[in-house]
Amino acid sequence: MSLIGLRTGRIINSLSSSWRGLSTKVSIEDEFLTAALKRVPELGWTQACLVQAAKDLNLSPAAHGLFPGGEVELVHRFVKRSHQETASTLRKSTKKKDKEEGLRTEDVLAEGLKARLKILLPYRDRWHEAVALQAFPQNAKESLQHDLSFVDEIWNTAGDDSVDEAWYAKRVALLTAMKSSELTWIRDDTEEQIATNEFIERTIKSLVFGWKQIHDHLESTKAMLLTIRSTASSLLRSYQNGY
Amino acid sequence: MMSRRTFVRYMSSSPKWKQNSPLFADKESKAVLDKMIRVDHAGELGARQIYAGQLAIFRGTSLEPVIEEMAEQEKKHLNAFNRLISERRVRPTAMMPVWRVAGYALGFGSALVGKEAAMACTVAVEEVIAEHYNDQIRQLHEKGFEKEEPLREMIKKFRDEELEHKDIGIEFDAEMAPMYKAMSQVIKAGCHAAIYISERV
Repeated sequence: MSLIGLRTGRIINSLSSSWRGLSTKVSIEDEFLTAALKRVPELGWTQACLVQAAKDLNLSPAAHGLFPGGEVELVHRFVKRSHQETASTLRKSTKKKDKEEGLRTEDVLAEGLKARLKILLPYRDRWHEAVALQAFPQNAKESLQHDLSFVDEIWNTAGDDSVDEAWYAKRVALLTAMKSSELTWIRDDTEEQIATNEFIERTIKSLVFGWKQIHDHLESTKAMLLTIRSTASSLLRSYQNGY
Repeated sequence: MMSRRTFVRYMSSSPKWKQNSPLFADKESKAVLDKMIRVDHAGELGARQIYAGQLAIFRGTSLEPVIEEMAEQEKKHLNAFNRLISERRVRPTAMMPVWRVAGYALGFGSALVGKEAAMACTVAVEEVIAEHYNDQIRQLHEKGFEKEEPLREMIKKFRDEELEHKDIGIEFDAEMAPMYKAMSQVIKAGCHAAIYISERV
């Protein structure tokens, strides 16, 4: 059944692109995603949700083949869209703030994580299912790529320009904060998720503060190494010159 | 997904941060360019470290101004790629700490053997880097990278400077180094391996 659906979906795909041009095909998939998302709170991240979305759009039920990856593709596509939306809002608000009062790293990072959860809010009751789907070994790689691109985006908005190991350290740290705040948020029953917001602020503060400490420590180690190095090489030179 | 023309039209209307953001950019062409910038960045870091290692030994000798001048140029190259890495949102190679140590060790070690050996090391390294830049210049000439003309010009300029360094090395008796052939083969093989790894990791 699903195989037939898949194949029909491909045919619809190729037909729609040859009929209306490529740009229309993109918007069909976008439209389908929007329609499916409307059904997610009720049906979850499932094949049934995709089928229902096709019905809602007056397409053949087999049109769920628009997403050949099925329910996981629905999650991935939604994650990508939510990241893009968050990134755009964050850029706008930081641009405004930058002009008015200047940026603080911890504010940008915290705001990024909060803005993302705000966009996920309509699907909060179903989000644990999405997390489970993302965690399947065959889906983990793509999920991780989406998340890494997202934390990279936030760091860049905050003005990060690291080009070495620090690049990795910062992204992994923020990714951890993002994932743990997400888990807090899923079970957060306080009004307007105040508890999660507090959690995010706390985590980010300790992340940025901890990073500053590590950074200072590394700098002083580097300075010490430089001294040792120049002493060693001047000793060596004087040895080569016969003292 | 999108035809190239639609994509170009879409991108030219979007702000700069969007064009380079991994969330929005065209995955395929970004992957190609990222790989290039990543490996060049690593290479320039290695080059800077090699000269730093050599300078540690030759400071105060007649060779110092020669090496210092080359080192200055490498520093400029590295700064240019540092800027590109954050501007283009490229992931730097995870091997940065390794190259930092390996480059310094190579410069320091070859300089310990002697002045000719140090120059032989310069010649071998710069030859591989120039060759590698040539490959990239050719690749950027292909279709689809019309917008990358400034990057291509920059790499061209860097390649010419690397070739100058190679000539300086030969001028300063690189070929008189003990076991010149063997040494240069080993260093070249090492550089090729470093390029292979940096493009991927």
